[in-house]
Amino acid sequence: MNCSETKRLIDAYVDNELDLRGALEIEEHVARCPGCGEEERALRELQASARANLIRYAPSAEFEARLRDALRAEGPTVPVGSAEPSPAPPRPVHLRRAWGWAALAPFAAAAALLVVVGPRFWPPPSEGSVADAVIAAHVRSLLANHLTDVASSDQHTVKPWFQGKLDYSVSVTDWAAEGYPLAGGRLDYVEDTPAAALVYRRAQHVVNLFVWPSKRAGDEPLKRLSRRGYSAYCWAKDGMHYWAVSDLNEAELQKFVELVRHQG
Amino acid sequence: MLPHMRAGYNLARWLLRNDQDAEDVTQEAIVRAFRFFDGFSGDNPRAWLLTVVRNSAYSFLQQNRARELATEFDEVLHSEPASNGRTSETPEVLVLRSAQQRFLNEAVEGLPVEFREVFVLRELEGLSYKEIADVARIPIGTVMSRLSRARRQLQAAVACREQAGSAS
Repeated sequence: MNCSETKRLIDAYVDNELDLRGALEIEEHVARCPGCGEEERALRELQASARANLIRYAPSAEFEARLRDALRAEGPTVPVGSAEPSPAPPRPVHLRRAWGWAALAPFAAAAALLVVVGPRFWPPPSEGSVADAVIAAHVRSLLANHLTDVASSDQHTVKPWFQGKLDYSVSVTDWAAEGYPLAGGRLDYVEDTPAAALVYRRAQHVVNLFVWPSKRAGDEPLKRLSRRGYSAYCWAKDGMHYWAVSDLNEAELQKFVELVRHQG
Repeated sequence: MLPHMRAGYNLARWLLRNDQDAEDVTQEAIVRAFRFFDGFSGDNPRAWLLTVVRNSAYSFLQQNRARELATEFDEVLHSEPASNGRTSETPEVLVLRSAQQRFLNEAVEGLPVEFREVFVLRELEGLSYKEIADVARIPIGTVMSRLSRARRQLQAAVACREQAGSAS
């Protein structure tokens, strides 16, 4: 990696948009090139400053009320609901269904909350944004021709490879007998967290199984999401997050997920 | 959907640089989006809503302030940011904002709209390059180069100001 290549990619680097290999090459270069190192420092400073200081304009309460009226006026078919805050419905498994326009109902209450909390409030990453990050990581692994850092179908090779690279232990199982042979492992990042990516193959398809430690206590039930033709299943068990991502058909991916969930 | 509407308003406010136009455009976009919601089958409602608001904001600019869409990069940066009422700022925000904060916000306002757009979508909404590409309907490479140019211009503006500050 030379200076001009680094200059071209350094924005993508600070935005975590490079695959791990590209990121490592830039990291190496900026560590020994003072000019590019300075450029990285300045970029990160601008980024931090922008995130802390840019105004997040909040709509006024009057405007939100007017918008609510306008939406109501759209006709009786519109499921706007009452203006009173209603108790939150149980969280559905299919995220898609959670986005109803019925969510407009607690408009004013939520607006008041936003004013109190202020525009500098950043919500914790939602499942949706993690799903985007995980699927992006899956797509990157296929695009950049960088599926595995350690290519091996031997779980006893892949598991130790992660040791020393991650501060947690990942259980690795080869599911070849069940039709999902292990292809290897890769170090990846999901929302700035280092994650183990275990790579499995099923015919022409690739399954990425991402594993990283959970910040929340307790297990989480299996959920399914889809994005741009990719399916993802996520769950948490014994303090670890699991995300399985693939373009496999539903039934086959689900079978794989069940294998992983019931191992050990 | 509510957080997405707020994100939509925030984007409109940054693109149009005044409260009144941002409200009109957001309302029009959301009502229209609402009408066609049944036909929406994507799985990223936030990006979708941002796209709808963004397109409405651009139509508004084309009809009312076409000059802003045609400005050259360097001319705009050093021009005065649009003066406008900032009724959406809460007292807390005003207290929090130091001179430096105000300067950065004005510098971003001074960027041409296409560059302001990618910068705000990236730093305030935290969208990925792919999502920005979808919302702004440009290739990922263009996202990268616009973001990069926007940042260099902002850095230059900050450096210029610091120099002026130390000289006085």
